[in-house]
Amino acid sequence: MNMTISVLLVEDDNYKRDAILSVVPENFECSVEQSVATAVRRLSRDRFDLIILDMALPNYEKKDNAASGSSQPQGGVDVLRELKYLKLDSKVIIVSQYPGIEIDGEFVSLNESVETLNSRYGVSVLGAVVYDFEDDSWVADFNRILIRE
Amino acid sequence: MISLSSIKSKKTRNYLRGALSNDNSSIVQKTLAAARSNLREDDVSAFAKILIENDLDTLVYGSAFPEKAFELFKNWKSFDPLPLEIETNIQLERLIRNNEQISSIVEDIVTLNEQIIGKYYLAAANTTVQIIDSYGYSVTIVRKLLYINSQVENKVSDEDCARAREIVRSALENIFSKEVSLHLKSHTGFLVDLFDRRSDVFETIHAQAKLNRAHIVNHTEGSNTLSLVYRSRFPCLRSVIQSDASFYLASCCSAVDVFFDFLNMSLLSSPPEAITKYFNNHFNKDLINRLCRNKDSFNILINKTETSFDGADIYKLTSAITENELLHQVRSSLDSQIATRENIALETDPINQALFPHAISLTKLSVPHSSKRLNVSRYNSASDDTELRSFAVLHCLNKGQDFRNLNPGEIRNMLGQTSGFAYTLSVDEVLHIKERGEEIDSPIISFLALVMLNESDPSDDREFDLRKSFETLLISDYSGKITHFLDWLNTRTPGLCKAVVILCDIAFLEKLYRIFNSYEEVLAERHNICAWASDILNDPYYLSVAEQLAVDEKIRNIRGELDDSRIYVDEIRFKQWVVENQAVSLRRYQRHIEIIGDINSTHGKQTELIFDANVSSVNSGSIAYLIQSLIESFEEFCHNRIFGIDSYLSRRIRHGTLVGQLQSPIKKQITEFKNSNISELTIAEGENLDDIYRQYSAIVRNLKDEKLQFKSDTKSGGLLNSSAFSTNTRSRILASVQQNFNNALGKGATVGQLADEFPNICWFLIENDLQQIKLEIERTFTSEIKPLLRKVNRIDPDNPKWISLYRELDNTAKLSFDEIIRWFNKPDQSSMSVTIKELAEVVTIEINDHRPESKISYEIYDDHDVRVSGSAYQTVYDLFFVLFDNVAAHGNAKQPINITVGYLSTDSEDISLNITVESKLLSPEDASLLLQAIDASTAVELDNEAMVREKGSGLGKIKSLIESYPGNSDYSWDISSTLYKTEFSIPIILLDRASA
Repeated sequence: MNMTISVLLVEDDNYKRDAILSVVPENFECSVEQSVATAVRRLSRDRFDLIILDMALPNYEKKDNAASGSSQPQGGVDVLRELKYLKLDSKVIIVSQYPGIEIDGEFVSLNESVETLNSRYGVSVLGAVVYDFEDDSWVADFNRILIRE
Repeated sequence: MISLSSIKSKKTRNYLRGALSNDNSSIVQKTLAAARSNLREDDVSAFAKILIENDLDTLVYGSAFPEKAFELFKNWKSFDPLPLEIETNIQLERLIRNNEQISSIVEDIVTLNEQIIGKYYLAAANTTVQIIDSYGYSVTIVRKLLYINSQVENKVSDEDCARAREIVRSALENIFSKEVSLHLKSHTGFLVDLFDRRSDVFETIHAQAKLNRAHIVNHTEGSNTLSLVYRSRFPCLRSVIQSDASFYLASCCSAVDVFFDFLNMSLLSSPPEAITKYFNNHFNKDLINRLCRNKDSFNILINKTETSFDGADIYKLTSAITENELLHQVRSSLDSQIATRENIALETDPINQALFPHAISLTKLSVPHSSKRLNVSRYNSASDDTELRSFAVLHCLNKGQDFRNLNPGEIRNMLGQTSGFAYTLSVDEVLHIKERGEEIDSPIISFLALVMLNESDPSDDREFDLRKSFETLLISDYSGKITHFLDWLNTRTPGLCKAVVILCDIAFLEKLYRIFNSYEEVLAERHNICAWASDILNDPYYLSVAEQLAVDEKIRNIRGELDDSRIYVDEIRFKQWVVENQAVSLRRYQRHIEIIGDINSTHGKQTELIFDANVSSVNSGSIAYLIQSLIESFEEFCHNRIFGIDSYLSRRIRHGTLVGQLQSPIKKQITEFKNSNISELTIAEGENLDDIYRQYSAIVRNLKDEKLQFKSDTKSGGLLNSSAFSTNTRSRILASVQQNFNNALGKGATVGQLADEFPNICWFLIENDLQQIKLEIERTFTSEIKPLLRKVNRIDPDNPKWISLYRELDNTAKLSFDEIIRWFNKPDQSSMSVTIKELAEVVTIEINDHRPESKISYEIYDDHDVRVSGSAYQTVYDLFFVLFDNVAAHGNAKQPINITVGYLSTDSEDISLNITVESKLLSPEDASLLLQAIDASTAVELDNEAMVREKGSGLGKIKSLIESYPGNSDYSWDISSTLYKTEFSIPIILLDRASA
């Protein structure tokens, strides 16, 4: 019997969220949060073995006819900062539709971002995957990271 | 164009890159402040040029030609000066850029000085006012006004002097506004402190200040403060402040004042090289010498220096008459005065003895521009040693050091290392906190220490620590209520309390993730904080912010009705950007228009020239300012990461929603079809379906990646073009410019009103591209998708299930593509659909907020409310606003006023509203006044800035609507009421009544 892995998926895009949930192994017990705020609160409450993290996230979830706050191309970075602040050792996989992210004002390719984020924020990012709605090759990349770890 | 790569320091480069790519002006300001504080000497020139070229310098230093007097002071608190040489080089670039205007204003000042010397005060008053009109405010010019006033105020029998006094007083009243008073209270406390504690030294100045302000002190609160601050720029005071020349350079946003500071320093014994070069290369020496060209002027300068002329005048005088026999007399006289004051100041003040031992040894004129700055401004915020020590204590707390045995030397060192913050949290208070059972690392102490440290040395990491510290503090002690914390803090340390209020802007609050559950809560708390600051700190600025937030919230609620799928630009933020970034260009354009007269008769030829040339390089001609402003604004409209179209595209298209919307339903139908027919399908049929889906996906991807984008080097097929002046749009831009601006300028529109026109123009510019996109989506569906899906039918043309699948796919694709086409319709605010009752509610809230003394309530007399949309929405909204506002203005404020709205007719497309205003204490006279006011409001444009700002052309709309109403006489106020009731009916045609 496989051991259950607790997973927090932080993703605000419904299509992408469903796509990711459809490829995670069965023994992964997934919780989903859709904004930085809810993710931060969840992390202060629950422990997760793995966090699957989108980098472009709104600060708050959008409610009916309401604003979600300013757009946050690097909202995921705030989640990583929180991990460090809470001294959590959860592993992280980044799944982003963008090939690069901005860290401290510098654009870094997604592949290079792993090392940069780990050293900059003292977190355990296992890898970064470029998500593509059409091309399923990201799934192989995603699984490769899971198997490796 | 200077490239970022020319900056050698990676840190500075990153800061600049961040500033250039960010759209939040407060973040940009912070980023630039950090860039300045980390600036290396070898990067100064490139840094300055990049600042100037990208118009970022106004964000740092403010406008070079401030249109409002309070702008002169707004940067004073936040500046931590750079070494003089560095600051000088940055300012040098600013002066060179504005050299033409500065040369012109210096010529005017020469004339002005001559008029003052000749005692032609009426002419001088007119010249001064004219200079302000043309070039905005400067400390220099304000001081001239004060001097002229001091000369004419008692000469009542002289007709010219009397007229001059009227002109000057009028100008001074404008300057000593509440806004100025507010800014002074907020930002220049250190100067006031400095002055007050050294009033013995500045006795003469003080006396003169009292004399000068006597006539104005009754006009507005705080004018005395202003007088003192203006005088604080006198050279004698400056010499006491010693090496604060750099601070002054950085803090005076007015280019005129920078010029005079340069002139001042050029006469010192070892001026920065850049300053000497500036005057040699960019300025007419004769003009400078004319500032102080004869003996009479010298005598007047000596006698009246402290109220009339700039230090530059004095020093230049001494320089200009180098061969003159009076030189040594001048020098020794000035040296003597300054030396005396300086020594008194430094030697009698124990704080100075402690903190500035080396300053005491400085010699008068020859040393004060040392690059090492003493941070006098910060030190002097502390009134005694206890306060200084308290800062050191806090500093120790943050550093984890033991603070109990600090000696004065250690305190000094500490303050010197940290730029010196000195708020009024005393050691006793710190210890009191500790005695309450809180340890040194209590949330309060660590938070306050971080506030101070972040202020002196901001960084991402420090701000993160600050937020987490604040979260902990609020959760542990204040139930998440920031105002509760402020209540406490204000009783202990008002200085820090104010710093926390300033810190808690929306960007900061938004990231207190553990405190707030939604963005609405963030906005509400910001509103609470501003209301608190307005009330407790008695700060009207925060009242205005709170009011604006309240209005924003209501507008946001109304706008919640907007379809989120539509292409969208946040016009409020865009217009705000225009006001903040294009005010100078628009003002210049307006001035040119005023000078050359009617735009229609003059700008055609210029425009042709501009468009024949490369428009972006044109720097002359009235239209050039406007065109350049349009180019920059349109670029933001398209690409701004917060409110631009590109952010919409990113959200809706690049981020996958479009692809998902177009592909998912098709993929789902094909998958279901295959699953339900799995036993009957041949391998070839299955592969055929897969192949059709792949082709479908390729078409969608091509549409997304190649077409629905802005044209760029990498996306040459993009159908959106952010270049406003491509050939096919030129004529439309001109038409737009003419239509939108000529009338507005003719009516003396404000920058804010001009900014209101920008969204329409930008939508106009992008309209053709949006149309192209819609056509391209249609074409893609018709020419590529339909033929492709037809292949499904051909797999087995005789089999109904394939026909059925084809029809389903075709129908689904058609619906999806039609939906995508609608995304690219220009959003129309009039598409909002709300009920009459909702509108009445919003307006009532707005009016009651706008007029806190009013107590308006409303009631809708009808069982079923009517929903309106389109232009009817705007019309009814505007109508309610005018009516309710006037009722509030003219009704009896002490009693509630009830307004009822009933429907005379709701059956047809026409809706007639019957509006009744009822108040027990609304007498016939009041009612008559009210009706007259409403009539006046709707018959003519109100000259009411607040109303115009809020409502734009709403009143005009109502006016035209009423005028165009058949018979016109239907628009009449029927006072058929009793003594206590006023009733009138307004029939309105609601052309865009929404379907039920």
